[in-house]
Amino acid sequence: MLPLICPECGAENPSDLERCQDCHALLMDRNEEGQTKATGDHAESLDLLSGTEHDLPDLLHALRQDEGAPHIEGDQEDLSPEDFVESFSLPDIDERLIAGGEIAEPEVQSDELQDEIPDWLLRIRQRTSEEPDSVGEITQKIQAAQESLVEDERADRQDHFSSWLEKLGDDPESATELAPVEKPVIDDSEEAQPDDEPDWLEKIRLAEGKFDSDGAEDDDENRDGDSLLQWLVSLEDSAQKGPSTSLDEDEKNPLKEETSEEEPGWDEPFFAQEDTQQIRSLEQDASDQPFLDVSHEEQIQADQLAATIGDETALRSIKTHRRARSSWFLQLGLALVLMVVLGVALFYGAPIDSKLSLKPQNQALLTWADTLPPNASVLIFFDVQAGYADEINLIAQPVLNLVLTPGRKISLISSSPAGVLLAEQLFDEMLEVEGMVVDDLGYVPFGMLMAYGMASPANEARSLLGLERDDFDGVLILSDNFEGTAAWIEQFSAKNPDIPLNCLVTAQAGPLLAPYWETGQISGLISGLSDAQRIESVLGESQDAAYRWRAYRFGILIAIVMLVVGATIADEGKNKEEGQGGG
Amino acid sequence: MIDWFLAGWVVIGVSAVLLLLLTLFFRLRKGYAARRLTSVDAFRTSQFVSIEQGRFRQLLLGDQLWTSAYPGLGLQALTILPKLLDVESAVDGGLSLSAGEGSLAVFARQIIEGRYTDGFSTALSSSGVRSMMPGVTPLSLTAGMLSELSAHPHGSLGLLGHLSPSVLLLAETVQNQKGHVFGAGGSLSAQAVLYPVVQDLLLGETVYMLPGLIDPGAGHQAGWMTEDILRFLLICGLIAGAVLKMIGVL
Amino acid sequence: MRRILISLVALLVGLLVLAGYFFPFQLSSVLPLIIDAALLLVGAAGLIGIGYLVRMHVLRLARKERGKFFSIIFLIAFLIALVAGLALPPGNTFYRNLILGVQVPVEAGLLSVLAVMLLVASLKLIRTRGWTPLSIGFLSSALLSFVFELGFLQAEPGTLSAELLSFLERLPWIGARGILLGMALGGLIVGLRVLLMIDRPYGEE
Repeated sequence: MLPLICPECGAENPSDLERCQDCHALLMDRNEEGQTKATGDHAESLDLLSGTEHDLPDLLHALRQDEGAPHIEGDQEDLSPEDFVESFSLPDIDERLIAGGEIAEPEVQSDELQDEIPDWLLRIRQRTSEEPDSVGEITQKIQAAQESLVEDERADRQDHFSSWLEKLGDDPESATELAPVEKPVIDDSEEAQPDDEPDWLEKIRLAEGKFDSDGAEDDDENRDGDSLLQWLVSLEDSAQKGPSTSLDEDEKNPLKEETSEEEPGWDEPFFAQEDTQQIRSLEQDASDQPFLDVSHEEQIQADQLAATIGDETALRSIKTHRRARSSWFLQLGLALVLMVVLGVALFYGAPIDSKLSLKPQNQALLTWADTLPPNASVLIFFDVQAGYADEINLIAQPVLNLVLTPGRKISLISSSPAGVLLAEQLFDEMLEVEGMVVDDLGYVPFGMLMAYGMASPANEARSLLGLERDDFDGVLILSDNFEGTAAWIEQFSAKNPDIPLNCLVTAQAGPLLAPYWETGQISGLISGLSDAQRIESVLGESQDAAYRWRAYRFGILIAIVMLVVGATIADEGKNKEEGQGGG
Repeated sequence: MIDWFLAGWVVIGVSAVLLLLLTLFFRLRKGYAARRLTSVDAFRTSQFVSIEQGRFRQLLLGDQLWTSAYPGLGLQALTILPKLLDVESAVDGGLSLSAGEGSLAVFARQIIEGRYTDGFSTALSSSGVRSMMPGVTPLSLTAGMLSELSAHPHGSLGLLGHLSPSVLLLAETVQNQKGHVFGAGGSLSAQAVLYPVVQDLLLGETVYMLPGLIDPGAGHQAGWMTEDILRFLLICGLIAGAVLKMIGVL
Repeated sequence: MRRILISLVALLVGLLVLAGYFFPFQLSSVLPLIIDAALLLVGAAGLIGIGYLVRMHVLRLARKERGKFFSIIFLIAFLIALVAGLALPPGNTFYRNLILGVQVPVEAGLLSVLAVMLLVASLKLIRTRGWTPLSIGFLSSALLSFVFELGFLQAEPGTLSAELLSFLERLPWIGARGILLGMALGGLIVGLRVLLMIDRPYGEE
């Protein structure tokens, strides 16, 4: 079975199919309209012109017009295109052509047969007899092409066909003999108006871009006589120019083969469907890109990559604040001012007689210290760094004077590396009092664990550092930070609420520990130089805190002035960026 | 009388359940986009700029691993650390990690070694990142860090974990070198002293957003959501307690 | 497997310690063991930290980096302190004065520098942060705290003015308490994430 050539895409399809395998165009309709079949049969070469009357080749039309061929009437009107062509076939001529000889004069037929033969056929025969070479050469070429069609490969046929067409195009005899091919009228939608041209030819011409609005006139100029051969020549020319397909089916078939032009040689048939299809070379444009199957995930990743690449060069809203660098002069000046003011306040003049009243938490701690039993056992937890030692000494001295009395047992634990030495220095003179038992337990690296361990009940066999929680009548915490004190308060007060907990802390820890006092988790609190000065003024034992308190007040005043001046003279224009801290 | 132990356990239990459920939820579905903090972007940019300029980078992990008042700060600093360790950061050998406590220094070293052995070839040397302990107490840590910062030009200083007020000296030193300072230390006193000086500063619980902002993940988003839910419940509880106190019930 | 085991051990120990709050007497024999072990670990970590410190200065000396002179001073001082501490008995006055005579002035000097820095920073507060609600609140709180610390504002206890002054004095602490609550929540979540192995900073996830 001969394969069916799709008129749209030119692909070969089995003959039993109705639609093209590639572009799904109808095959059968096209066949009825004049789809030519690939053939290798010489005998059927001229039978390719099947179809309606419109599918008659130009040659026949031209012959009819030149010789005034009458319209087909009578019985011949009802003839199918195939029958009509068959009736037109010249088997005798074919045989002679194959033989290579000249076409002999047609045999004289009987009168009866002559009467039955139509006039136009008679004219053709007469023409062949009168002009032995009128179409002989062409016919010979056709025959040769048909013969070579079977033997040659498709690639060879392309080469032969193009060269052959060119040769025919240069032949002046063929230009004059053939009637001009009527050009289809192309409207704005680029659709060829139906004319005498067959649909398949029109489509070929449109696909090759031969009769576009721009090139139509050029084609007219180049075409002499509009003969079939001229059409073939011009088709070849357009094929060489690289026509582009505009069929919708092309988009649906991205994997279309890019066929090349096929130029039949001398021995190849004119209207071999295979050649025609192959002339319509398919140039892949942008819409003919290979279809890529991209999954959704891959698309997301590709988008992400594209966004990342784009983001790399994107302008960022990074703050470029210009920070006014603190001049060393300013820092030095401030340091000098501080030293002078504080020095004068420390060493000159009498201390200020403070009339400040004791705070409730201060009073509570003093009351506890006063009311301790003579043989009380007190645990002192030391969590102070060396830099805060002086402040803690000032704060703790008055209270320790009340606590460290003969007969009492004092246990000392330190959770800071230098705490042991600092505690020794602090208690040096006080601990020399006779009758006082001091148990220095040394350094414990993690104070919170110590607090948890001491707050937990211990069995008889084992106790933490030899201490029992029931041994103490009170705990005194000396600390320079809020965190360590809070850990002790939370562990001890939660598990042993009966044991009083008192805190002697620096000024930075005092405000954050005040809520513990208000909730009753601690029994007393003294924080900072201000509270120490209040206690000292109440107890009236020394004036160390009073001198420092005056210097401290001057320092606070300087700080207030700096804040106000800084807020007043702030030039916001130099710093347009705003802090973007969280919280 | 409310048993505060039990109340605490309830909070912990609810948090754990919420965290697990939300982590699973965000792993199965797409999470939500958290707001970007320009401070964090500026910190990351400063690190890259420092690499390009050939300047040192310093990360301070804090002076304590654990405190009662700020229990998760040290762990937070260690959690951020792997997200800041990448091939680019270690390529020039200019990144230094400092800690003020032995356990912090040991964990930091473990993370550095683990990062390179788990994710990369064991043949790779981890000497690109230096870990050090300039001091054993907060003030001695500051003194040691001052020496280190003055010795080399630093382009970036990251302050993480639990910090003391003395870190202001470190910030000023780096800023005088025209370097960038980023503060994500959680202690109140450190935030207070850094606020007037450091522009890129995370305050309060925003500190805990930092790991998720650097390297987003389902776990971080679940943590934020859990924290938001707990915060909302806490607010409701506080308001309810205040109202009940005012009307005399409590 | 190793990571799961480590997390499991941490979880069990944590549960045991927390159970000590509910069953203190039943666990009285176990808890001291755990606490002793933890103290040993922390102490060992502290020694390792000291080793890191010494190593840092030795390397700086070996590589002849900048600041090697101060590293030499450090190493000499460290050796003296170590030898004296081991040789001399506890409570020795000479040793105490030797250490504290250096450490106290140095740290006090650092704090003094910090005080000057803070004064300069207070001058630049608005220039750095601008007039934002947060900076205005910060400035107001600082001024209020300073004014109250001076002690000029006083009132008789029990009067309205005393209540007002007490309210104003404690107002900045409320914000601090709120921040602490938030920090506690964040710390809880961070700890849970590590315990539940959602976050594993000690290796690839």
